[in-house]
Amino acid sequence: MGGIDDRYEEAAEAREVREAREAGETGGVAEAPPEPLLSAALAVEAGRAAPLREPDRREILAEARRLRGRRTGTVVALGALAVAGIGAGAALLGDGSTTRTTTASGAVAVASPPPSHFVPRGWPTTTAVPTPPQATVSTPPKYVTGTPWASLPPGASGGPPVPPALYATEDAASAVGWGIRADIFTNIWFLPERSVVRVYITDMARQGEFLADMRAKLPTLDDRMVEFAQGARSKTACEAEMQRLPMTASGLPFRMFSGSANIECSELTVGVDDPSAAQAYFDDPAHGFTGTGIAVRAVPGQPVHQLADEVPPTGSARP
Amino acid sequence: MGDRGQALDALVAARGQALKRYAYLMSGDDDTADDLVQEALTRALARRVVPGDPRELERYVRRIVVNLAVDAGRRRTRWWRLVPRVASRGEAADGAVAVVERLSLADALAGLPPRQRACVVLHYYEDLPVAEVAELLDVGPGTVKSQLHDARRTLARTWATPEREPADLKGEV
Repeated sequence: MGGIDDRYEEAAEAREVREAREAGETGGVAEAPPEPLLSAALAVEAGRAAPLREPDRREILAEARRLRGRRTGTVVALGALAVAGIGAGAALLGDGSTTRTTTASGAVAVASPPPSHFVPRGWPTTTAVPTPPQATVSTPPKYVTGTPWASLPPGASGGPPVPPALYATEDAASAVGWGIRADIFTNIWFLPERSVVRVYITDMARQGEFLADMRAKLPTLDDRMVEFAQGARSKTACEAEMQRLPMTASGLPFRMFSGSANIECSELTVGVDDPSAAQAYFDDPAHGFTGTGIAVRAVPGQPVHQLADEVPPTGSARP
Repeated sequence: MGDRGQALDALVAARGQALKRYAYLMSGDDDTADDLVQEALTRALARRVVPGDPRELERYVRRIVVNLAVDAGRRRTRWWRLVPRVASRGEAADGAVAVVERLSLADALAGLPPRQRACVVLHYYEDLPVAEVAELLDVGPGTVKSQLHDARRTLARTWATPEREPADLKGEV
């Protein structure tokens, strides 16, 4: 939609310019002002600006945090939705019933870390979001917290208050993980209820190095806010593997709609129209998906047309 | 958040007023400029990784300011395009009068389309070469040149430049 608006605006702007030109040609345009004169006048004009109103530091930092959280939250929500959808699809295929097959999608997200979702480059106009479980549920979903999030005051909808130091810890872990320790970095899992940031790395023997680099970024780092967990492959390797999936290939015995990696990057789950054919394809060493350290599991999935012209969700935000 | 807080404090202390002047030229209004700066700071600090180099952070904030200003200008343009349809004849701006009146630079700038205004400020005030302006606005250098050309022609028609102000005003009043 934004694209249409942009084109409309550009066309309107071009029309204005054309009209201005025409008006100028008929009205006898004076010589354009000399450049130094214009520069000097602009400098004078800029000097008329009143002193900058003291920026609301607290508001800026809180809003920036909220914006970052919203981006992460979108990915997490889509991941949870995908997990729930895949689960519902698998259950439906298993017993053929149309009764309630799963709990609310939020419960899935709480029970286990969501996968990092991705859409490969060159993905066409459909996205890879499996059917949500609500499609097969006749009763309204229950809220995990018992209170609809929309009814909570701002800032209270994410659970207990998060200490700012935890965000700083997450920032430091992210900067180190995407930066100098990208070779061992797998993922980050934010656990505000325990005031802990869990960092997945492939080499647990090097957690001391990782922590030292985090401390270099954040001298006030509290070690108790960081815990390490074993990751299967690095984020870089995991993303490279995901990009290798034949999302847009033709001539395959199945169609592929979705893909996600678990948080340790030990397994990719792909949503397809024919899981057995797809599994056979991925298990065939000739196709290069075996022996990589990342298993590929095919589950039933189905395409959903993209309703908004936004960038498709990706696995995790890059700095 | 400590890093972000420090980056914010350092940038505002060192370059706050420069950013304000820049936003003021882009928007033409003090309050809007304050809002632009605050919004741009917020968005810059919402990045996953905030640049450690203050100059880099400032460059990023300036880029956000110009994009916000152009977007806001477009929204305003869309609104003013509708005004003649919702206002009576007397209330609507009279284009013919606007053409012959000689305006202050602020008012003349306000008459430019948002992208032309951005080009003028970036090129003539910020002293950025055409290539950098093009990169900032995500358009081609040719587009920037044509926008600058058109903007200068429009300013020549509307702006009462200091040298010619008395003569022109004498003739028109």
